[in-house]
Amino acid sequence: MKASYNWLKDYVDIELNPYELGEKLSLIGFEVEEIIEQRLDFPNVVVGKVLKVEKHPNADKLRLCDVDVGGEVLSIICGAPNVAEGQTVAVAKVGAQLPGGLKIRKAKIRGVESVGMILSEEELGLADKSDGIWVLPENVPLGKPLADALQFQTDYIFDIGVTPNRPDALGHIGLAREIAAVTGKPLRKPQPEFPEVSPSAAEVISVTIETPQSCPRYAARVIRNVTVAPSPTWLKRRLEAVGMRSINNVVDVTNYIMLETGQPLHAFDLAKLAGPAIVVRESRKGETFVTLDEKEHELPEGTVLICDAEKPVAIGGIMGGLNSEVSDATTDILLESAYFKPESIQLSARALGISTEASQRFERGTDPNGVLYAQERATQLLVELAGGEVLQGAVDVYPNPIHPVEIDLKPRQINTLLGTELSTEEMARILESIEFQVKGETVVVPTFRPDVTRTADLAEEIARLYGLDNIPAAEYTRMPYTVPVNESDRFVDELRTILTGFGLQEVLTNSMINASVWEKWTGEPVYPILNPISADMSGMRNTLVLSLLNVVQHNINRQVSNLRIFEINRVFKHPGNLNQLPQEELRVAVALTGLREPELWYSHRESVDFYDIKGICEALMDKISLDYFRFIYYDNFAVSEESLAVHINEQRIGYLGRLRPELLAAFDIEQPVYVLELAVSPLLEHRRKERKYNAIPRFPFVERDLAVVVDADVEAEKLIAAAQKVGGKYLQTISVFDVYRGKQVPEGKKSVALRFVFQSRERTLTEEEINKTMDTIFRQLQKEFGATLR
Amino acid sequence: MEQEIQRIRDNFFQEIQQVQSAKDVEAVRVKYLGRKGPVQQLFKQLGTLNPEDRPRVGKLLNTLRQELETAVKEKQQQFKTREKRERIDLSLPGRKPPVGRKHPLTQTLDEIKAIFTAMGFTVADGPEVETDYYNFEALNIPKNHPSRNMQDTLYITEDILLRTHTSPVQIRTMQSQQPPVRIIAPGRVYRRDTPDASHSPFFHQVEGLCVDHGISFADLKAVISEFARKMFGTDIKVRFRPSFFPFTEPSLEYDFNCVFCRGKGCKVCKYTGWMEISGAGMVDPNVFKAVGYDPETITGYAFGMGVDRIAMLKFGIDDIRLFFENDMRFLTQF
Repeated sequence: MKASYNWLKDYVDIELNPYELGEKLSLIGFEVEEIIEQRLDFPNVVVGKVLKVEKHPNADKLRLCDVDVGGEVLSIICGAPNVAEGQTVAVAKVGAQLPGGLKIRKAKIRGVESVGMILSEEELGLADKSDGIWVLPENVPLGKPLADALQFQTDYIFDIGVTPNRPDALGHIGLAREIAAVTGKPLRKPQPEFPEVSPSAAEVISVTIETPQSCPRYAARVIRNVTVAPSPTWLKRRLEAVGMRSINNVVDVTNYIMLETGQPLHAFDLAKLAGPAIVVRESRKGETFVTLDEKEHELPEGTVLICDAEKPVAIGGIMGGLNSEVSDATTDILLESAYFKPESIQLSARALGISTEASQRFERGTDPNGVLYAQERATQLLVELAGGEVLQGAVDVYPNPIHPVEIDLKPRQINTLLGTELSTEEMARILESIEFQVKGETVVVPTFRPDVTRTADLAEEIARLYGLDNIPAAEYTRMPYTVPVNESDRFVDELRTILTGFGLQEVLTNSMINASVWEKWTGEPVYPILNPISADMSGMRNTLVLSLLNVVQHNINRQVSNLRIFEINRVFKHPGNLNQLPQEELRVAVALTGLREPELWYSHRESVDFYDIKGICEALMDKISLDYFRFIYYDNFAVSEESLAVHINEQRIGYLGRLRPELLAAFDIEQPVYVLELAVSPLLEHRRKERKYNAIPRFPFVERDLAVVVDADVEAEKLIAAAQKVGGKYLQTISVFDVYRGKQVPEGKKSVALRFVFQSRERTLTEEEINKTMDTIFRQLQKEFGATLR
Repeated sequence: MEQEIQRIRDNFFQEIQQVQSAKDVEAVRVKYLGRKGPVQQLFKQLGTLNPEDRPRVGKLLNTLRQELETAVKEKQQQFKTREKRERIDLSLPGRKPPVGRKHPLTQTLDEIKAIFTAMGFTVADGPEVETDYYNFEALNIPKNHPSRNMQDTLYITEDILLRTHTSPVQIRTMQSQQPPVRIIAPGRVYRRDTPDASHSPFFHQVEGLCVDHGISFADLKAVISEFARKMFGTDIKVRFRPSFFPFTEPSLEYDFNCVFCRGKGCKVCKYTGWMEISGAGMVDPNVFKAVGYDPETITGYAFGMGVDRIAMLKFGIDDIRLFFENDMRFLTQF
């Protein structure tokens, strides 16, 4: 809602300057997003009269004009099609600077000199768009500075974010009421007065409401013999100042009163109404209608239609029809003021995809008992500006009057809710300042405040006008001794700490991804978004790994190619049926690429490989005390060849390995990337929760190495398993400390060096028994794998 | 002979003070302590002395030898360590283990969580894909109501959507437990906004909810003010302005003193001294009805805040998109 400082002053005395007022409005719930100063003194812009218009000798579209600017005639070239002899116009003389920054200088245009410029409203910054030059009323004094001649005052326009619960503040009187309440000044509502002539309106027209459930009230007045003409400057200015275009005096009056009272009005050309009658009904299936913006709409069934005796003439509460629009030829008017149920307008406006000044007010809830006031104000103004005779009375159909709501005040409950100790009298005083009536313990809420129906709503009014800053913050509060801990959230924090400890940088990426591309890559359905922002955000991701690839690509393209990154976030599994929520699974993913160490004097300039990613997985498991996971050969959409699945018991909880070349190519990455992706909840579930102390052995351990030569495809893990089987009870650990293929080993073979650690808790082991065991181990390896000693 | 001992001592110490290298030390050692050196010579002459003088002078000689040997050892040690140091270039950078950092948003959220858990709040969470019921209906936002236009929503179907706020967690939590409730719900939310410097179609919120007998607006003020002080400094004041949210009544928005000028007024805060943070209010009775609480006896407050916005203020970041581009040159600054 745009509100004018000068306009507000019509209804309440304002001593605050515009910026103080803006602050005040913000602090009582009307957030002023911007205050726009409209300075309306235009130096060197004067009123002129066009004496002569000729064609420009060298340009078809330009005219040469002689313009009298009061004792001096200037020769000005004008390109506007509507310039004509005899017009009174705004002229920028040489030296003027227009609001857009343009400086007026003497200029030659296609060989002819031009001394000044005839202006449009747009060029003066008074309208968003003008079709031609601004033609002023004839009685404006010639030669005078424009701002003086038109009695312009500097105005300040408040751009207010009126919240949807406050339809009453979508009019200047409503805002003035709030200003009056906080500044302690009286509200001045204009009292409409106008003469009426017979016959009565009821003798000329009829009004029937067939759907009182969606249109509880419809009032019509008839005004005859009006003269449709451009609006006077003051009215145009007021409308344009708050961003509304001037059409003609009749339409402008309906808009002006809407901006004054918040009640939308509509004027019909009475001659175009069959009957003349008004019938309010709901649309039938398949009905269409052409609104005054010349668009044809297919009406959803049940839309409120305003009809004459034969046909629809307006979509109730939303927009008038082309077939009954007021035009220059109109003489008799039917002036509508009505109340539509918000729910009905909400539904229709949404279904039709139309949002108008009128629909925005009706769908928030106008005042059913303010219908006649607005109509009378408009009638008064119409008579003043367009002449005409007002037929007696309004035809006001209001079968079930809507009464003000009554609420129990409950001061104690309000004080408890707010943490205040306000007296009942103080509460009453505050409520009465915005026209609520307080009768003992009962509050009567005026019908222009449909948002107030409960004690909590009264509390809000009281808090708002008492001043939220005047309520002291609590010094103490009750707090539970037992604060439950969110174990899963804490675990995720722990994971983040562990992974950053491994030198991995955390990233956070978009959960919305390109559904069709990811479906192709992952081979799994992606949970789709119905109204995506773009194709690149058309579904919810089903893996984190591809998101990490985006990060890798982004950074490599910016010359950062050694990356160690991770993300912990949710993936979304398509439930098969879109009417079910997807399963949201929290995952952790890691990606490594580039050099293992930065390229510095000590580094080996080695690229990361499979064992780096596997090592991160193993170290993570170690750090969270998860003992019983296994690796199993595995490929999927992301990894192949050097790739493993991570299992806990029989459950696969993730995978790791070298990224598929096809994916690298798709992301234009030319270096290998290694990834890991694990589900988080199995990690939490299976980690060892108990941590109990084991006594440190008192007897020394014995270390033995054994290097065997086996076929190159024999896995180290198998050798270890075989050795373990026969290693006896004192064998503690076996580790692989070297793997060698090359000159000293036959083709197709490899040497694997194993280190065995033996230890007893009871005694020092003897040389002999260890030798014996080592012998057994070697024979086992010989038997199973044909191992020979190196 | 005793004078001779004193002379040798003086000469030795004079020479050993002046040595320049381990080699010099060795030369001095050979000169004085060597087989042909003066100390050894004196030992040989010991037999020529009176038997009664012998023990006394012998003792003096032994002391001299010990003193000299100790001095030589010390000097040798000095040169040894000095030479060792000279072998490596201490100015070279060290072998730095890789350094990983949490994302700036995680760091900010960690801080927010720590502040609220210290005030007795428990972290709660809920799904990011929600039903219309939890995201709107139960929060007193009926279908077609103009307040729905306040948030442009991404839908899956007519009834399933990407949550536009973390407020659905309020409903889910209250449905699953009786008062008292004291939670914060951090998480990712989605809006149908075209990305620009101040908008991202997904961002992060923390929703707070405290429900019990006798919880008041004064409590809400206290909690928000404490948060402002802990997060941005004790000089930061909070301002509350009435507003409207369907799920709170009264509703309000809260502003903090501009964290750049500390409330004095600067370009960033448009010379107001204030920065909008987010919304809050007392839980609307209709929300309590939706979860089966008695609005006559139970009250509560709820508040929201944008993690991204707070991180931007904290770190002086002027473009929200930087958080999700994950450029290492950005992330490694935190």
